[in-house]
Amino acid sequence: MIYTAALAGNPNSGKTTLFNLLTGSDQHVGNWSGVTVEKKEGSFHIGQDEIRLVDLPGIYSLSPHTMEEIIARDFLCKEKPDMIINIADGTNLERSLFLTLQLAELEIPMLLAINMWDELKKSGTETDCDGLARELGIKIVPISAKKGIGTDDLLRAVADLCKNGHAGSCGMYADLPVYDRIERIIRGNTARLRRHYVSRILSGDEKCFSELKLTPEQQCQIKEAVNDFCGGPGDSQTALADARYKYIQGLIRIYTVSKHSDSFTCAVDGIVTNKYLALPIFILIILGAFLIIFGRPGNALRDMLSAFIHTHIAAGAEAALQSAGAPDWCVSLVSDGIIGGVGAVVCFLPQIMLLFFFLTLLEDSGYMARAAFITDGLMSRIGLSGKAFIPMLMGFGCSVPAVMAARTADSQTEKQLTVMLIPFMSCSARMPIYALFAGALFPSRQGPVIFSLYLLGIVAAALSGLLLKKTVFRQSNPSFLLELPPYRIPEVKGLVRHLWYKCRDFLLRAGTLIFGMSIIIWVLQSFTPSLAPAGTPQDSLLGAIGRFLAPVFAPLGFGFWQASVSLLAGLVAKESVVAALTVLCGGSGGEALTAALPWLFTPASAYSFMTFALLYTPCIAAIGAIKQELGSWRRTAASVLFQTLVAYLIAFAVFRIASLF
Amino acid sequence: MTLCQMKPGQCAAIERVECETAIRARLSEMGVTPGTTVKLIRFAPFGGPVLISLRGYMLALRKNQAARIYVRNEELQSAPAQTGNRIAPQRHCRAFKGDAPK
Repeated sequence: MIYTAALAGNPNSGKTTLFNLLTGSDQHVGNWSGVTVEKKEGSFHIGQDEIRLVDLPGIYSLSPHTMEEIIARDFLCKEKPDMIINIADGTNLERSLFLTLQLAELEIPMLLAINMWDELKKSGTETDCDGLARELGIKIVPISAKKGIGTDDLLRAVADLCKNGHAGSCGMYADLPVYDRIERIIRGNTARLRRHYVSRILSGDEKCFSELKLTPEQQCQIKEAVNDFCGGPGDSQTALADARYKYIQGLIRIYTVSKHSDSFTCAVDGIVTNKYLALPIFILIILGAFLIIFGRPGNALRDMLSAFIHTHIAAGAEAALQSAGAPDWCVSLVSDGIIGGVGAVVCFLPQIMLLFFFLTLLEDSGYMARAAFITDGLMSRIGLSGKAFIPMLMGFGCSVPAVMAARTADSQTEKQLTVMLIPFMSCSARMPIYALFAGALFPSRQGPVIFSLYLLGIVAAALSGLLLKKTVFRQSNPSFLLELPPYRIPEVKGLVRHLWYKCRDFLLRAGTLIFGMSIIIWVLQSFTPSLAPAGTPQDSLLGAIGRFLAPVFAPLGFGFWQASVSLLAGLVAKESVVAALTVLCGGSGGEALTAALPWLFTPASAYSFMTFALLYTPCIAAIGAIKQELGSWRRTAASVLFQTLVAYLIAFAVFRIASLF
Repeated sequence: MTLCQMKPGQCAAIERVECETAIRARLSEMGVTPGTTVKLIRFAPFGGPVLISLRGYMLALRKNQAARIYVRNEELQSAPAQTGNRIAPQRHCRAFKGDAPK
């Protein structure tokens, strides 16, 4: 038989580790429909039965505050899984039981797995699982998902649930007469989930009034009951949470005793979040990562892959096609267009994977939360939260993983704002542009000029953030509540699997979106407006478009077609800007290009060009990632247009000001 | 006094939470309810959030919210031993995360 099980628990409870442990490689990652929240499904077998396990997002409660909570509650209430596997971090059982009590009201057979049992034992904490199990009416299994302890007991308990599962119940309601009272009022309106509905009513969920089809009289009676519960018109949701925690506290007092606290975490935090040491340590860690990923080692990997693609794949394809007698344009399409375009992006795979590895390491070890804690003071001044700091920092390396890292934001609007601002962090691919122009037009001041550009990007992001926060993304009051989990050693297998999924996503996107764009751009580069093969770049469609757009850039100081064509080429990859300029201006590149540039650009227009290149829309790889995170083409287009507009305005201002000197 | 006015390392019991309804509800779900014992661990640099320890875990919240949470001083005391299923009495403050090793 096939059973469906929902895996539910707080964030940082080891849910993912347990999921991986149970399902192994038999899992599938996608998105919950309509939202950009990751959905994981997998299955495992017990004897003859198959259990389809659905990993719900980590949640603290079932009240619909965040997208994750809404998804979890909708799945549990509407899809009605056969059982719930509730996982709790044993080292903070008190808070974890809050969710457990809510899950127990859903009338779905459930069991509670208390994770990190090994840590608990080591700290000297004793927990009376049997007593607790009797009190809550559900089976409790102590496990350590990381060490694989307790797995057999867990599987046996799951098998039991399949055969004769029963939902939980507990003694809390005996002390809350309001439950009986309201249940009696709504008895006629629903046969099941009455207790759950009462909880929703007490939580101020007005929607269930219409779901239950309550008469005005019933609503009146309910409001009266609620008022009596709060002792006057007051906040019933807080009163309910209060009552739940009082009950849980009683349980903890009776069934557990804790001895030591986590001294390792305290000791490390004492250093890492220390007033003076926090920022230097943080900077060191980030700098170290950047030096590896975007310094020599990372670049070496990229160059190796790039060389491999050119010498073997591209050359091989060329040879194969030519020997098969394919026409010239076909060879060019495959070799220059497809392999060239897709290859340029795929070369970044090693660096992007390294970046993901680093980010996942930070997240799973628990340091990421500390980074958000340390930087929130600064970030909130520009309308962002500390959670956005590391994603934005990653944008200095590459926007693609940075945008994906923005997923940890508190809310959808927070995430959108972060994603829109990340491209202003000058990604490493834009560096060759600065190096070229600074070398050609500011030979004695290259360093300061390039540094000023990075600074400009940060300032642009800060100002845009403030502006957007006051206009488009105005939120009544963003709440920042962040749990700082204990430091834990990340689980390697999970890390590797996580990397593999990110890798696969990236390649998929490269294979589809970038594949398509590369072909389009190749067509634009290779054919004239009359669709004859183009001899030189200026005759091509791209050149025609460039010449058409060129006057637009005149106010910025570079209203000639070579500039606009290069910027268009930058849509594929920012490195292409230099490549295009080489082809269009410098002929053989290098020295010739550096000598040719001062004929076309003045220092003022060079600076304005660099500013525009810094701020305008990122490459299609990043656009693809942005679309994936924002969820719609409309928002992605808005983001791209916004960035280009900001680039235009600031480059214009820069040119005007620079021309005065 | 408010949470913000506590000193690092100080324990106190929450008296009342006067944040806006939505945030107060969220806080109560995370365990920040009247009567709860909390310990202030530290303040973040740059005027950032405050880190507190409660119910066996650590929570960071912004100062503007912490300023609306009122607490009263609580002396360290051990809970009286109870009969029945009890394993052993529980000391409150000592069991918190954020304690330096003795």
